[in-house]
Amino acid sequence: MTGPSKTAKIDPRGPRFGAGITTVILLVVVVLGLQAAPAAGVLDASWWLLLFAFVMFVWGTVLGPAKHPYGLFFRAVIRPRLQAPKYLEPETPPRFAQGVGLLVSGVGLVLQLTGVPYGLVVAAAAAFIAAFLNAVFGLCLGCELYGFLLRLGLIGKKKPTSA
Amino acid sequence: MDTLTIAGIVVGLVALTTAIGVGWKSGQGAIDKRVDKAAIPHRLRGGGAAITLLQVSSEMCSYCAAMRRALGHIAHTTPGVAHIDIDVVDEPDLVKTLGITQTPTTLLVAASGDIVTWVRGAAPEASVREAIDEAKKRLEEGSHDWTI
Repeated sequence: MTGPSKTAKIDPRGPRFGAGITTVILLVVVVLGLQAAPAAGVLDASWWLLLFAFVMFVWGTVLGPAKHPYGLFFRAVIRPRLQAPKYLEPETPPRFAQGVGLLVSGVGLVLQLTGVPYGLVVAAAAAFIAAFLNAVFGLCLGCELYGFLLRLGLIGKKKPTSA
Repeated sequence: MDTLTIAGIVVGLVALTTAIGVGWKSGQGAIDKRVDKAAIPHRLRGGGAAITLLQVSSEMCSYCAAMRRALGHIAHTTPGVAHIDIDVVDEPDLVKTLGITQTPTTLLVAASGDIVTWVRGAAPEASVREAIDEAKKRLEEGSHDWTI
């Protein structure tokens, strides 16, 4: 019987609020990217805005959602106006989701630099789908991706067989 | 690209994502009455409980904590029901054999080790209670099929 992991616990509405902001930013990236397309390989407005989203994802992945600017804003301005959360969640799942966002937006930035037409738009759209599902439906990427991660061998072999 | 095309793509993207979200949401907490005979080893059955709520959790799962609380509450308030929470990394063989790809997954396990019901994803406490009552009824009716 394993208890809950000993990581920091946060209000689950915080990352969802952040995902809402990210959703809007990524949709603007898609629009800007489509306006500029198919002229790829340029550091246009869509590239810089996606770079901003990328930096936010790096922040969330490295320092965790609680220390993220959106998370701090949520704590300072939004949370005092809400009821107490029904439960707290570990910080790991939203942090993992930030890591996925980092990867996808990073690919988009590189595709634009290497001149792949619509590469940035497709990556931003993919990241948008994930952020939107998180913000609106509360979909938890880490819950769903378990089977995928197991196949990649990223999890599932932490424990030695002698245990 | 002209404005109308861009607007069309954006509306399509939002509609597609909403459809995915609605589909995902409706699958959350789905109750599956699939029976797997003697699938659960003795150590993961709650010491002779009629029904063990065997929760399969993972580290990267938001809803596992909420589910842990709800199932713990059910076990605490229902006689003959136990709750055991395992992490996928601790039971990789079992998880692979059963083909669990989503966390939390909750298995309703009879004292015999048979899985009598699957609850996929996070489910409200009331629907888990309903599934337990239904599973108990099935176990009683089919007691000649199952070694309870």
